[in-house]
Amino acid sequence: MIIQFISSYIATLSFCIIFNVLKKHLYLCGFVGAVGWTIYYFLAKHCLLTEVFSSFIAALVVTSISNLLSRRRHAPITIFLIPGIIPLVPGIGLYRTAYYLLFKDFPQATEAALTAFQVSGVIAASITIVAFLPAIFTPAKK
Amino acid sequence: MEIQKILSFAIYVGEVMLRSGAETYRVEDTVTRILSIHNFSRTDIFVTPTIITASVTNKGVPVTAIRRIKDRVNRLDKIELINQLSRDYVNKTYSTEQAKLRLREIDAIAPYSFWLIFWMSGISAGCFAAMFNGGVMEFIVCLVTGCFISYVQRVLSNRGVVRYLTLFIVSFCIGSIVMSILYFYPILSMDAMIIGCIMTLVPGVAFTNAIRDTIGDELISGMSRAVEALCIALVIAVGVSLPITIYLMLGGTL
Repeated sequence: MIIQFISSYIATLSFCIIFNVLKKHLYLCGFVGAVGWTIYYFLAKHCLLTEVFSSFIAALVVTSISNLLSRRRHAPITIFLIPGIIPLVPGIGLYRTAYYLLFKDFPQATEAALTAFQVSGVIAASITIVAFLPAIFTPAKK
Repeated sequence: MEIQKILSFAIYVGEVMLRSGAETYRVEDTVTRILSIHNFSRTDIFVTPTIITASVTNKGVPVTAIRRIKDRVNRLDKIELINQLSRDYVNKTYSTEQAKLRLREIDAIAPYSFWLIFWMSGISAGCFAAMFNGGVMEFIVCLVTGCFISYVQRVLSNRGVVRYLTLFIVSFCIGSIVMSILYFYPILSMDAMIIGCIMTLVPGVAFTNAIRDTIGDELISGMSRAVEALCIALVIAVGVSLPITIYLMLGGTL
């Protein structure tokens, strides 16, 4: 668990440097990514929840933290969001889909494709939910 | 005259943002805000990942500008600075001329140095291998491979090789390195090594952004980003699976 946290912290941080995030945000970006991945790992491996549901919870937490941080530090939310969801997004799922298709393993390919689609769907959904939560609870503009 | 200057500034902002890899809705939002402080009777902005169009109508006369965007890279620092600039502009801290100068400065900011990115690609590959249950040996293999592929990518992109061919060559290199190591040390985890190395290439964020765009009613952006993500995934899978096929023909087992 601790190894997971540390390695995801360093991985996210290095990804931020590849994406050219400003120096003053680097450590926070790493933190966001590490929290997201650790929650995902804990839910998926120890609580035995499905991949999709664990991604949803992790992405909700990541989006809320990035939202808070972007308010606090007057930076656009993208700066924290993209590094934060990097460990969660189904890049590997898309790769696996194409890989199984090339080896003509259609049942596995379908499974990988559907999971990848669901995971990126719930991540996108959680980003949208957090973005519009304040709008739901504030009185409507006239 | 004034209207053309403002429009050319606004579309330049949009162009730099798109080249830095900003989301479609963010570009539209920023350009709309910049144009909105000038009280034009009507402004329309249409943004896709490869093109940006802005049209302003003042006293019944429409003025339109289009910019074509090629080679997009990830420059989150520029996105942040432009966000600050557009806020200052909307609060009238800058005049249009000053803002344009500041925008030129932002556009010219250099990225992190190549050697830093070189080492960071290696380290991130190694750490991703550790996240997918790799041990110390897998970490070292991914570290070296990650550094190597970032060098190869740099060389190929400097020579103007098209992006998909670069991806193919790079993932072929990854597959060959991992499979030849696996041939001599079959106890290592192939999954952890391959996943760690290709994690910097796979289009997970692009695919998620595609769905976000579709949710936000940016249908054309959503579709084009999704197709782009699928093509990249396919190219990587082809590149990695060739060495795996050769490895199986030489009598290795997965």
